[in-house]
Amino acid sequence: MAVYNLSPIFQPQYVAAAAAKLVFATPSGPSVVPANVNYQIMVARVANIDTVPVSLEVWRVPSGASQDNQHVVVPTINIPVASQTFPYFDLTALWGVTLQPGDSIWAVAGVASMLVIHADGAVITV
Amino acid sequence: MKFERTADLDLMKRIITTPEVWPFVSDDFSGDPENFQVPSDPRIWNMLVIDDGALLGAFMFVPRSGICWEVHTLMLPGHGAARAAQASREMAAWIWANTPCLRIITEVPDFNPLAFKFAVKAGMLQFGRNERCVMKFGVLHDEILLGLNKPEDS
Repeated sequence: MAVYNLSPIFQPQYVAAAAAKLVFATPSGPSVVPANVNYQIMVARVANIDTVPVSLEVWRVPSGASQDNQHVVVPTINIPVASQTFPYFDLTALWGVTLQPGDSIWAVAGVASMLVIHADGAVITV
Repeated sequence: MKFERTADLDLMKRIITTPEVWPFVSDDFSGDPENFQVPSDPRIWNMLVIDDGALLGAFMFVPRSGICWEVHTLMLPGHGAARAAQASREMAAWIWANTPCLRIITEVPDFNPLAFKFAVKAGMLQFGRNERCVMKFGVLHDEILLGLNKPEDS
């Protein structure tokens, strides 16, 4: 029987200016989903800590696939600057997604270390 | 979609106190979510909702009598209203088939119109109103009472 553990999926982390895999929170920071678990994203958000909008593109890359146009889940968009009334941008394309072993999430920002991304969900031991 | 009764009160606490769930299931006197304790009464049925391996949330059924159970809906974010409504309909069918329950009731505070629509979409009918019985952010609110009977042919 599967075991469900509600948990951060991505701890807050900067998005690089070159496309790169995001680092999962557990266990010990893998960049692809480890064997025997699924990662279920419930909520994913990004905050722009720059003073101007910063672009973001996100890929969901299944195990064995490439980070290419076929796997774009968030096409290049501009993330507005975070403020008290708009603290983060919801990445709804990732909400409800269940990642399987070997899958990864890639992202690229227009400016390095200005977008902070995080996600919560469930680690499902299968 | 499948349903599993769970004894994992820690998981239930995490579901209930998820930031997207807690504001809608608490009032001014609920205290901090960290200190919330899930009731451990064995008569309560905590049901996980699982669809295609993903955890959609949970339903907590608290017996008001042997055959009338009060449901608390605890759907996690990220799955959309349609799946949640489907879960609610299928959950009722599961309850009729697998438990002695003959009537499900729920209480929806009037500051949560989405939950009211959700309950109506699940087939529940309003049978009453508990006036000014919940305080949220210092304001008194009514609770709308809804119920659903087991179909006679099920």
